[in-house]
This record gives sequence, C-alpha cells and structure tokens, in this order.
Amino acid sequence: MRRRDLLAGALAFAATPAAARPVMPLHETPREMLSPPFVDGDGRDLTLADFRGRVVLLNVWATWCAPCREEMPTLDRLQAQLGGNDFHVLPLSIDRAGLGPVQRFYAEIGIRHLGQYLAEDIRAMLAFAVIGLPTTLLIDRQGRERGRLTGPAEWDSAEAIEQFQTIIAERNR
Amino acid sequence: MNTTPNTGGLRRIRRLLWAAVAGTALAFGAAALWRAFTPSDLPAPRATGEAAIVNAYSLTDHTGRTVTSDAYHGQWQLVFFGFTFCPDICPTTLAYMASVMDILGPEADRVTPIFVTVDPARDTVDVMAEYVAAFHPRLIGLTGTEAQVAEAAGNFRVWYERSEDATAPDGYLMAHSGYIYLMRPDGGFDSVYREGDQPPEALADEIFMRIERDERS
Repeated sequence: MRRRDLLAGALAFAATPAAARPVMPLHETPREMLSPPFVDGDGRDLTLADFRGRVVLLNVWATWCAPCREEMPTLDRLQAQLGGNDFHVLPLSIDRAGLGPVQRFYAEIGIRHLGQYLAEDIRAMLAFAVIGLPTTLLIDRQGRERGRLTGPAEWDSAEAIEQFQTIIAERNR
Repeated sequence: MNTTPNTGGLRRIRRLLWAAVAGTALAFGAAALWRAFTPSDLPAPRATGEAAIVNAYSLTDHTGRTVTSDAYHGQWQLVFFGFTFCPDICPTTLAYMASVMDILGPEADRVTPIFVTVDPARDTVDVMAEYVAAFHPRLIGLTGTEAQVAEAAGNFRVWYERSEDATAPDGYLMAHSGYIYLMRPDGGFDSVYREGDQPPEALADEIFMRIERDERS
C-alpha cells in the first residue's frame, strides 16, 4: 500500500499548477517601516514620511549594480504612466560617490521621468533590510511596506501596473 | 511486498505512474542542480581550518601593477572574492566593507580592503579601476589570467563556478561564496566573516579588538 500512497501523492503534487507568481510578492500583513534620511536631486532633506498619502515604489539601487541599471528604464516608463498624486516611483541610490554618477547614468540612458534620490548606503541597507541590489519595496498610502522584491523586474509590465493599481485603489484603509 | 497478478491494463497504468514519478524526481533534481549554480542559493563553503587558507597569489591590481600577497605585508587585509557583473542580485558586501573601513576611522590605516574578481574575462584592469572607485578610495581591485585567479581562489578555498546561461549577457554568470577574509599583517589567516552576520559597527569593533590583541602579544 505504501507504494500506492506514494504514487497518489506524487500525482496530486504533479497536478497542482505552479502558483501564479505576482511581479511583486506581497506580505500577508502590512509592515511598519523605518526610513533613513535621504536627499533629492535639489539637495532637499527627505524621509519616507514626506511621501505619505501616495503609494510609493521604492527602488534601492546603485550605479555599480548591473541589474539595477538594466531595469531602470522600466521604472522610468512606470513613473511616466502612473506617477502623480497617487503614486510615485522613488529610485534611491546608495552610491557612495554621491549624485554625480547617478546624474551621469540618467543622462546616459535618457531617464526623463524619475527623480534623483540618494541615501547613505549602510543606513539605507539597515533601515530597509536590504541584502542585495536591486531591492524594491511597495509602500502604501499609510507608509507601510506591503511587498518586496529582491532582484530585477519589468516594472512597467501590465501585471505590475495592475498590482500597483490595486494598492492605489485602497483609499480608505 | 506482495504483488498480486494484475491485468495488463492495470500494470500499464502502474508503469506509467512510476514513469511519472521518475520524471518528476528527475525534474526536481535538475531544478535543485540549477539552483545550486545560481548565486542566490550558494552551497556553504567547505569547512576550513586555519591551515587550509593560504594567502598566496600573483595578480594585477586595478592600476595595472603586478602584485603578490607580499605587497600588503604589514597590513591587516580584508579580502573578498566576487565579480563586477552580478547577473541578478548584486551583493552589497563591498559597500559593507567600505562602511567598516569608515567606522574604523584612523585604525583603518592599518587595514587594506581587497576585492579579487573571479570573472577576469570581463573584469579587466579598467573595469576594476572604475568599479573599486565606487566603494572606497583605498579598496584594491585584483584581476589576472584565468589561471592566476583560479590559483588565488584555490588558495583561499573560495568556491566559484562559471555556469553557462544563455539569457545572461555574454552567455554566462558566476557563482561564488560571499565570505570576507581577515588576514594578519604577517599574511596568515585570522578569521572569516559574512556580511549578514553582524552590522558593520560590530565587525569594525571585532577587527579593532584583534588588532589590539595582536599588538599586546
């Protein structure tokens, strides 16, 4: 009988469809967040609290990170499409050399819609529990972390946009 | 196991089911193998005693100078093996090492941080020069021929593997073990650390303690 049980189990397992994976894995419950201080391209001092009320896609990256560079155009297109009073793409560089390399990289690949943001690497890595780059966090209007992806993605794909719109639509939570 | 004789049909079904099981097992085996070669899920390095790690290499630094490990004699050394082109997720270890150097303050003068590429085909002297500059002014980048790099990695007992991946730029990616080696001023192996195991302040404290202890003895 053992053998038959094994067969039945194996069959059931094989029959289970591969779980449809969302672009960004969401947490079961929202998580409170810490924010390191950071600056924008105009030298303004900011924290995540300055973005409260908008859904934020926070992308922790650096110019020395090849997959980060590769996905940046998809973030630029996402900001063009969804960015505004309800949604903001926040690419937070942790380049130790400052905003200079960020500006050069933006110019090089023709970024038109994204702002420039810079944080001290170790403070950002600790505050956001970053273990590798890129790390992208989805933050709701209340400033809570709702999802996280380590590794690159196509952020302007239809599936990704649909996911963000679901969070944007939660106005009264 | 008692098998009662079955009709041919049942037997065929059973055989098919077993084939399915074997197929599934094979698929999972292949998946496990594939995972073993992706950088996000590296096998733990082999256990290493002090005697097993040898600080010996002949490589080229990021300024184009030929160096051996003797070049850093008299300095404590933080040695990390990696590559500049991370296929998917980039380790933040060099930023972490740079933070440790910052926290060490004046004590950092006695420590040389060293980054050795295991991907010399892509990480030329010029690539290394630009890369190390992004982290710390004192970070040394070392590259060489495939044979030189293999020798260095072998001496440090670093595991790395080139895995052919058609989707990666240049068609391959590298996996490696993410350990930071602390070597003593006499070139001997002192200790090994991993970025995720302690905040940079703690590692800086630890290094400071070891330097102090070494001087007292």
